[in-house]
Amino acid sequence: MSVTSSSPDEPAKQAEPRLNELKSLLLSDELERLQQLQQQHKAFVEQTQESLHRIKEDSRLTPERLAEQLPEAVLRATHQGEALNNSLAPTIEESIKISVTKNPKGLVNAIFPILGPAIRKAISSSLYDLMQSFNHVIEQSISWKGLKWRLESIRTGKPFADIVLLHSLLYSVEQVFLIHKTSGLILLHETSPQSANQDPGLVSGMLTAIQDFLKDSFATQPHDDLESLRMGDLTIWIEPGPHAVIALVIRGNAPSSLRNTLQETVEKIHARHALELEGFSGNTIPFDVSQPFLKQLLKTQYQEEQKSRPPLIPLAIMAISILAIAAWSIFIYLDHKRWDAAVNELAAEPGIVILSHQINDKYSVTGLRDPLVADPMDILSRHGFGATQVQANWQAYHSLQPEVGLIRARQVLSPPASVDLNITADTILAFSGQASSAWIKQTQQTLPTLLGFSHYDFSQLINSDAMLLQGLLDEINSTVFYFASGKTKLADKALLRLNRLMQTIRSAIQLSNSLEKTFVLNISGYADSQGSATLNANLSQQRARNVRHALMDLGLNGKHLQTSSHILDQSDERYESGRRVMLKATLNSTSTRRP
Amino acid sequence: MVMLQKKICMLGGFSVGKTSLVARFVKSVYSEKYHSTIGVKIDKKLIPVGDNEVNCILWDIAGEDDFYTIDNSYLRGMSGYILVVDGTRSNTLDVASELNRRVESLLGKLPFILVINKFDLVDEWEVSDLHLNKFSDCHCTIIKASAKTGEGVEQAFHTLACRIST
Repeated sequence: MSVTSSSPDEPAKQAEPRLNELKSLLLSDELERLQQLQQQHKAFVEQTQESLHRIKEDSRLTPERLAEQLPEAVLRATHQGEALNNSLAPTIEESIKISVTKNPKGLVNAIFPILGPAIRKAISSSLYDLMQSFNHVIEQSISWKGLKWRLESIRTGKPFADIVLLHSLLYSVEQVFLIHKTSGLILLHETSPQSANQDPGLVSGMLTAIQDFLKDSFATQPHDDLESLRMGDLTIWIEPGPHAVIALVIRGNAPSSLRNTLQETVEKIHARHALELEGFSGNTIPFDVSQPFLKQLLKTQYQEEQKSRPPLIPLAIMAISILAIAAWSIFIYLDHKRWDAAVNELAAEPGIVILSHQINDKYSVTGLRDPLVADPMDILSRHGFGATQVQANWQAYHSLQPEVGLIRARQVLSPPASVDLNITADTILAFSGQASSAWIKQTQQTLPTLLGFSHYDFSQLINSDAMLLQGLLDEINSTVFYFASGKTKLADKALLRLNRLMQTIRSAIQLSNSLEKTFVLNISGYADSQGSATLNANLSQQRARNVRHALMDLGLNGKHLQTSSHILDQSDERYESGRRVMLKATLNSTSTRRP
Repeated sequence: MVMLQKKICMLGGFSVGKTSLVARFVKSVYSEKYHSTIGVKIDKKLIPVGDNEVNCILWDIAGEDDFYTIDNSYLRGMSGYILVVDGTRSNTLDVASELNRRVESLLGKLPFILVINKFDLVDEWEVSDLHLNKFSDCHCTIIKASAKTGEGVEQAFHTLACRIST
């Protein structure tokens, strides 16, 4: 290797041709080898230079390289601290400013999907406050509806605002249209089964045309959009996005929360179909995947609670009213009935005649009344009518009704307790019981002054004087005075007895007089048949006379006394006690004695 | 089969027969009675193009005259249009020409068919082929049609449908 490396210069200049020949002869292999080595060396140098160049190139920060490295570099810088953020902040701010100045629409479109939720979040909190104040407004409202909702709130324990919301949640979304904004072409359509449909293509076209027409006809701002149409209970809600519009056909009163859902759906569709919407050329197939979004909007909220629960409060008020009216009617009816019963009882009362009666401010009654009968007010008060409630006008009269006649008879005759007065056969005044002959006599004299009776019946009235007299007579008649054999003088004991009997005899005489009878006392003297008949006749006669004398001694008038004498023979059952005197009182009719 | 949806506008002067052409095309009817369209009226028709169908939403826009100019917002998003001229009134051709110019300035070049209507009254036509030369550089198709007889109507819509769906 050392030869070949040092030889090439000098020998070549001096003897080039030969040397070359020699070299080629001697060193052909080595030369060839050298040549190869030179080529290899050159290639190696080139390769090395290229590598070096490449390394140099690689170490330079080209845009391509930077693009490759930047994400990682930013990530690391972020981890290391806020230096990068701080240095980038002014640039980003400036860039956004320029972007907004140059083309606001681009940025608007870009942030549209996040703008809605952010705004809604802010609005929902203010809406909550608004709802609270709305609550206050309703609280003070005295409308029937307000009161009803208020009552429902109390009844269910739900906040009042919820109840208000509940009552506005009565709607049905019948159709949903997704419409391409510029062309008015229908991208998607969803409909509830029960709604009758016009061709969605035409409807979407017409809705777009109406919007165009309004924009054309009235001075509106460029970004203003038609948001709703209303006809009867049908409302069309239109929610515009940058490229597409969703229209809802709603029957009833949809709550504002549905509008939020609608906005969200528009945003979702824009986020999902940004490219298809921008470059829409009539092909609607890419939008079919968003059909579920539209389906979600087909909501129906029925007034289920109302249906399942009858309107209790109006019903209750109606029921109470009906009950009150019924109760009042019943009260009036019963009151009339009570009054009629009282008046009927009055009319049935003997000695009272009702001429007229009525109920106005007061209960009033006019009629005739026998002063003898009970106070009509007693009857009325028994039916619950006080003296202050009733205006009564009674004219006094004499009733000929037997019942009143009976009262009058009792008042006039003042019968003793032992006498009963009754009416028999409607018009006969019957007396029963016991009465003294004096009272009976007086009564018979008074009868013509009584009114209203056809006859008077005394058959059941016993004269108490006659009964008493009979008793006295029986006592007198049971008196027997016995004598010893052959004696006619009254024993002392017998005289005492006679003295006591004298009181009875006097009473009997007095009663006989009052009964207009004559009292006669027969004194029978008896003797037995022992001894001579003459003696016995004398004995019996004397015995009777002695009793007579004794009575006369006691003050009895001889006109009341008669004597008789009897002799008993042995066959007589009274023979054993034959020596005696018996008394027999009898009454003779005075009239017979009168001429 | 792909179904495309396309918005097509009927443009033209006042009383040139736009509504009648749509009625003839969509419902195959014709009425002598004249109804002035107010604002816009929308119809639709499925037009087969090759193996596919184009669902054409036809915006029949009120005709222009000296007092009424079509609102540009009605034109937005259309894929093509039918420019209608009344053959018996040459001034409607001027209106059509002006409209076309405006559409082009607003939306750029769009496919359109120039329909010279009332071909049944061809003897009374004021519009001659010479007049139509002003549209020669538009690369549009000019079709003479009659809403009354139906002549050329299908052809006009079909041609437009073919052009907008390619």
